[in-house]
Amino acid sequence: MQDRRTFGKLSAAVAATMAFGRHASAADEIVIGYHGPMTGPASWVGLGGRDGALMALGEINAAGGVNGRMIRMISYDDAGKASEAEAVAKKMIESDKVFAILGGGISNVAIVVAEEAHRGKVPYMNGSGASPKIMDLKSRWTFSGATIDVRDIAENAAIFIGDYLKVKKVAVMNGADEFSQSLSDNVVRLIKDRYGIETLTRQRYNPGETDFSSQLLAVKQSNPEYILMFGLYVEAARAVRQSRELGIKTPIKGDTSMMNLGFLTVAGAAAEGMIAEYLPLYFNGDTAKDMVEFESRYKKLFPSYPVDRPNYVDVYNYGNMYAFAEGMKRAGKDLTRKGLVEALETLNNYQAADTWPKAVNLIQPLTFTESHNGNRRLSFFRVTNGAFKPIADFKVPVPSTKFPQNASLNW
Amino acid sequence: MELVPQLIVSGIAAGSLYALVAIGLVLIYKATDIVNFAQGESVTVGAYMGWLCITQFRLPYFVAVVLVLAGSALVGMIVERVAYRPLLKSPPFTVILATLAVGLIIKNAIRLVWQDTPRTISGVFSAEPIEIGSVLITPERLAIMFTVALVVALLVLFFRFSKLGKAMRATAQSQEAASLMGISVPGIFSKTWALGSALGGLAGVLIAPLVGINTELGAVLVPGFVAAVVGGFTSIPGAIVGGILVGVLENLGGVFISSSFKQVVPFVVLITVLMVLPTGLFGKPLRKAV
Repeated sequence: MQDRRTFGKLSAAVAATMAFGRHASAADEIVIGYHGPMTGPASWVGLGGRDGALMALGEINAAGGVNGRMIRMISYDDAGKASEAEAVAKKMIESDKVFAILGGGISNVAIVVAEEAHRGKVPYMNGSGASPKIMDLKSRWTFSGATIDVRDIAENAAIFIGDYLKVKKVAVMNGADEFSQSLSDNVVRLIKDRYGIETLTRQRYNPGETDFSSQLLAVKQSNPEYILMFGLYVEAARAVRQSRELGIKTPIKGDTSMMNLGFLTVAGAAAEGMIAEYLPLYFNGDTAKDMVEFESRYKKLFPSYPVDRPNYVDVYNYGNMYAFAEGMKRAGKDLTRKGLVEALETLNNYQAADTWPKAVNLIQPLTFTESHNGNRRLSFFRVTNGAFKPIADFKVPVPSTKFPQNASLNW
Repeated sequence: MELVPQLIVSGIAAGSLYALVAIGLVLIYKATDIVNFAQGESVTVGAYMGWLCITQFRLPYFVAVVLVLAGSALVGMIVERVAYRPLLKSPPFTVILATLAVGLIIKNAIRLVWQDTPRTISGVFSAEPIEIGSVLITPERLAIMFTVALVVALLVLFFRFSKLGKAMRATAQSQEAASLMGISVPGIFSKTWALGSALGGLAGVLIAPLVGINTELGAVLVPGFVAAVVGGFTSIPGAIVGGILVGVLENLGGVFISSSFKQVVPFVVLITVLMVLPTGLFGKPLRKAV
């Protein structure tokens, strides 16, 4: 009964946070703007980011909000397009006058929103964009939470390929999108410079592509020890499936995008043995206490959740929203945007459950005391019996990239 | 060069699906003079129907295929009746815009219900490759190629020997003459849209086990459209040749030029064909009495 009442309170709180269309920020509430692609091929990013944030928001509001004020979230679909993201950001800042913005957008969109947030002096938590261009803006208003900069992803991946896989010849297949292109460029350079690993061929594919035989046959002909695959997961899953159809038995290593139930659904048995990297601590279905609790609450809140959800972006923004709320709490009752930024910069090795008893810890601990890149680590997983299982015998050291220190960022 | 046979066979496998989409476009265009830009969404609808039948209603794959054919045909008839028939006397540009709108409506309606989350269905044929000479191909891709060939053969028989097929051909040649011969032109339009949609739906349910199902499946319209234009847009054999040509050239271009260039190749072919043969490979020159 207690559970039912708690869930009722949580649902009501989430419903309140989803009350779209209200504009003015009342004295008893804090309005957060959210953007992400909720339609189109990358909609799983935007929808996941929105729902993870809403779940955290429901819990935060059910626990009394932040310093007595409720948080409300206004969500906008940016369709994964920079032009639409710019309009959405302007609307949130100038018309809705949101207090802060949380992103669930892909990199090309996050860059645009970060620029607008800087111009409008609005705190922006980049939820899932990994392009270096986001943090290279050197804006004091922009934070990267659970997600990590592509340079860090690349270094984590390069160390794994060099030290764990210990291969000398690879073939690369990457999507034509900004994230995949940028990440694959960095990994190819790093594995060559640090380990002398030769990239025998690089093949590109486009979003929405359904036939990969030409790229895969070019890869097959190059006879690599490993195939490194980068790209949005639907296309990658199709390519992995088709690789086995073409008799390619070479093992495949994917990237963060492929850690997704939808990937496993489409790739099917062809994904068995494949390796991919991940930012959250656990993958869906993991038996760790926090993950079991998260999935249980998620399924109650979103009973008709789709097959590939909750995905990692749900998890990112669940953690990011808690970090935002913690910053607001630390900024005190006289909450200002600048105060929020300065309070976020005090988070050190922070996990949500440290200060919010109902929260569960799913993302790597966040530290903003030195730079605005809160997380820098990845974990590696292998598909075993149809599920991603952690590779326990390898832990990547903190990457070497030096990000701008907080004091050097521009207001 | 040892890759060439494999590239050609894989290209034919991909191209046979483009051909199916192209045939749907050609049938509707021949009968109604409308280029149906919603044909890609017929593919999407077919895939989702197949998914519903197999995973939600637990029906066997072959039963699902039959239901998809019937369901897609019904959707085609309804769309024709609701969206296109009222525009029968409108300029062609208006109707083309209407097809674009219908495509968007269908895609977004699916998104509203199921979001963009990918889904999949299991086919009945193995995805394990078999070796034929130096070429690998899976039974499920062979089954698709066989199905497309069977459909084409049935269409040829249908148009040559059935009363309805003859009426469709008559309407395609001259709506006025067909009407004078007692053929209900609106009725033929309706049945043509049903047939075109059914072919799109069939493509969807065939491709779904291989590539999964999401709302972007309709993107197959682009190579299908190129195939239809290359083939002449009024010719079913042209659509088949065009589809296979596009599939094969995509593959060859992807390997021997660049993977980045892969999707540009069909358009280069399209422009080249239209410059040399403005009516396409199998199209007949349009003659107008003045």
